[in-house]
Amino acid sequence: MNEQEAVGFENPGDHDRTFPLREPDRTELVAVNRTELRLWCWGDPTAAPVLLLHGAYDHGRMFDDLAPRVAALGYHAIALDFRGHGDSGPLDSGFAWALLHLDLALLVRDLVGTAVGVIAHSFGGGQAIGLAGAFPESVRWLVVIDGLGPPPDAFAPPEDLRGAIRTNAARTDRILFDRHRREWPSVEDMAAYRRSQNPRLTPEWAEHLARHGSRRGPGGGYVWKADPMFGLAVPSEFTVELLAEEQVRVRCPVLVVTGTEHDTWRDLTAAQEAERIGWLRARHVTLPGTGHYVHLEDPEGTMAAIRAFLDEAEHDRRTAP
Amino acid sequence: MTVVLLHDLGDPVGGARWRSAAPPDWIVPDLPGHGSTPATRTGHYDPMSAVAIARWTLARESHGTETSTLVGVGHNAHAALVGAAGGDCDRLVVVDGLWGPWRSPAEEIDAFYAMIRAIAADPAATAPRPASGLDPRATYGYGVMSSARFAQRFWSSIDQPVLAIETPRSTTPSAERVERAAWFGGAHTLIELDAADPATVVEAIQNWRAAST
Repeated sequence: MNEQEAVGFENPGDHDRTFPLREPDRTELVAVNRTELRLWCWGDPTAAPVLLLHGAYDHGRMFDDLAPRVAALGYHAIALDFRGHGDSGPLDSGFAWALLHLDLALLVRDLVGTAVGVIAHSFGGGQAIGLAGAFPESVRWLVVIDGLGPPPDAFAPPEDLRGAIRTNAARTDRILFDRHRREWPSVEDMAAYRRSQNPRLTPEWAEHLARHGSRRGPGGGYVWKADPMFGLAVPSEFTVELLAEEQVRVRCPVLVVTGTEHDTWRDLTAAQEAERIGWLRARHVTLPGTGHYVHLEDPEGTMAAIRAFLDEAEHDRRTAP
Repeated sequence: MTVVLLHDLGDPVGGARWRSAAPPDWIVPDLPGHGSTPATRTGHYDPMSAVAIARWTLARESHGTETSTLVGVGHNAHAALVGAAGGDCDRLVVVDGLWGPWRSPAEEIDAFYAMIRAIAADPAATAPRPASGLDPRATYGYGVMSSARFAQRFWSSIDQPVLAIETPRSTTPSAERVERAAWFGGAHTLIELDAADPATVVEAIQNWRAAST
């Protein structure tokens, strides 16, 4: 798969540019931790590996722009679909935080075979932080793109706990017994929905994410690949104090890249962001004019920040400028 | 009068010990990954599966009219608590389900990371899941985190009558059991038993049900 996929790519502030997304060089479906994970790979498979981790409800093809750039630095760039996302295996419930940590740890240990660099967006950032904290031998360095966790009030249990449990139960039963998935008439409609949720996405990116994030449904329309069980879990404790304990356990070099613009899922205050960057002892780069999808909006800026970070983090390993 | 009992996660014989001790009309399934029930399709364990099984069983067996009791043992006390909060039963029994000593956030994350490292280091727990019998993966717990603040908030939402049974296997500090049982939102009874065998526990549950009918 070396064909170039030319996509008209409008970037805020750079409306005349056309950027070619590059299809993965290889793809694999690998058996890990009692499931199958889809890997999208770019670059020399013998080069130092870099894992690219997407956010919740997304998939590995969101890195079709960034991953080839990472490969061009002399790395083997491996974007995966998390379990419950894309082409990877299903979930039993959304209580999957530990399960996904294990997927990553076993993938690195048993299939990649050596410690990895990690570039992770949003929810993937939380997973990467867990991997680096729980399995420090698996991670050489970490780049977190707007993935420092939700704001403190998002951790509070719902006011109507009983109602939330009943709602989750009803949704679980609908998913398991009715087997009803909303079917969309076209990928274009899904892309339009995606843009309504993430208005900073360009039409081209929304279409790309919808196309690779969907498949044909039984009724002839299209359904999202993301497992609807992903959002369903039981009540359990999670607090900013626990988040802090996760983040202070990361010992490898960390770069945090964030945007400056208000956006969906970009909801930390500057003070909250600074506090978490302190827990990670991270270098921090902000890219002006970007929102939550920093790497989609400004791939050049993102790569410049990553290159500068890697110059320090592993200057003796890099083989390409 | 329907009773559904959720055995502990990781019980080597699934529900067999409880079925032997319980009246014949109690429903004691082998939960996924235990006894004759295959492992979950993901090969990983979380309380939602047990909650769902309890909900479906109670709905089917109680026909929406009979009084129903849900019993959760050990790790599956949390599943039973979730089921009760969701309105799946009229009465709730938790056996050794008042949680252990509260951990600091640092201790909680240390324990969580130790759990997933232990699973990763156990070839049997990551090998393809067995078709029957105890799945070694099920012996590592759910990894659910809690705190006094969270438990108080959660349990106070449960307004059905609750029986909390503490056996010698309980990890709840003795001095805190009365206070924790009082966090339930409705009528509650705390019984501390000298034995943990199913027959003794089942007898205590039967006595409580008879007394509260």
